[in-house]
Amino acid sequence: MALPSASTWGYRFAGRHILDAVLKDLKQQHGMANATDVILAGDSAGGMGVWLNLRFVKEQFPSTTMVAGAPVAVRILTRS
Amino acid sequence: MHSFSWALLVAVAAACTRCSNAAKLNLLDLQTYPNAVCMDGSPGKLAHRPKNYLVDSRLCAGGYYFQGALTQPGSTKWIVHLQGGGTLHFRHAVCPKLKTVCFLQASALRSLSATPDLVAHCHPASISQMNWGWDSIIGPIQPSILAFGTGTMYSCNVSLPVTQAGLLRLWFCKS
Repeated sequence: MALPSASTWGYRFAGRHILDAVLKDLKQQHGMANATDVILAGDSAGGMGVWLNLRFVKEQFPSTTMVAGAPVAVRILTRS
Repeated sequence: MHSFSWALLVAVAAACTRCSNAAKLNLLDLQTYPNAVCMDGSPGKLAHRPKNYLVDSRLCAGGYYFQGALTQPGSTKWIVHLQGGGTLHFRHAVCPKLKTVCFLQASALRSLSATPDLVAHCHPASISQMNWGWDSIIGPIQPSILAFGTGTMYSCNVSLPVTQAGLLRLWFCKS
């Protein structure tokens, strides 16, 4: 797990833990374990999150579950 | 913004106005999910927008807004929406913004009739609401829908960044 350190400016860049926690809670509280179709959508920076996490989300469900990504107006990392 | 994106947002906004059941905030237990925290490692805190983001005493590991399906056929179909909110990848840009308190935008008054603009401002590691209707994207099937935020932009699970050209630092995932 990424922990805050001097090399990371005192911050952690580990948002996947949040996504993981939310998916677990949804399965326990709202029956997402029975999902037949899942669309991972996101806009702007959230759209980048779709690119980065789609495979992870796919792995959280049985192979019979359709998992697709829908990034919108994705914010792309560029050097300026 | 691309014309397709605008058209999609318009369709979403129109769909939201038709929804009648409100999205409810679900808070995650900090002891169960100790890693689902802000970028500085602190737990999430609630801030109520009508009170100018005043932070209350509740701490949590984050949260998400959830709206169940309006009809049975949609109960197994899900949209997980990661809301935008900007991303910062240089130190001089990161530090000032992240010194602000990590918060969730929470309001019991919010419903699916609210526009996405009401939740446009959020901390990069916090969780907030975005309401999309499944029917606005796919067809006449009502949604099992939820929404949460932008921390996924920073989705690494390794401890050290990779420095590119001595300037840009990138964090990657091991999977």
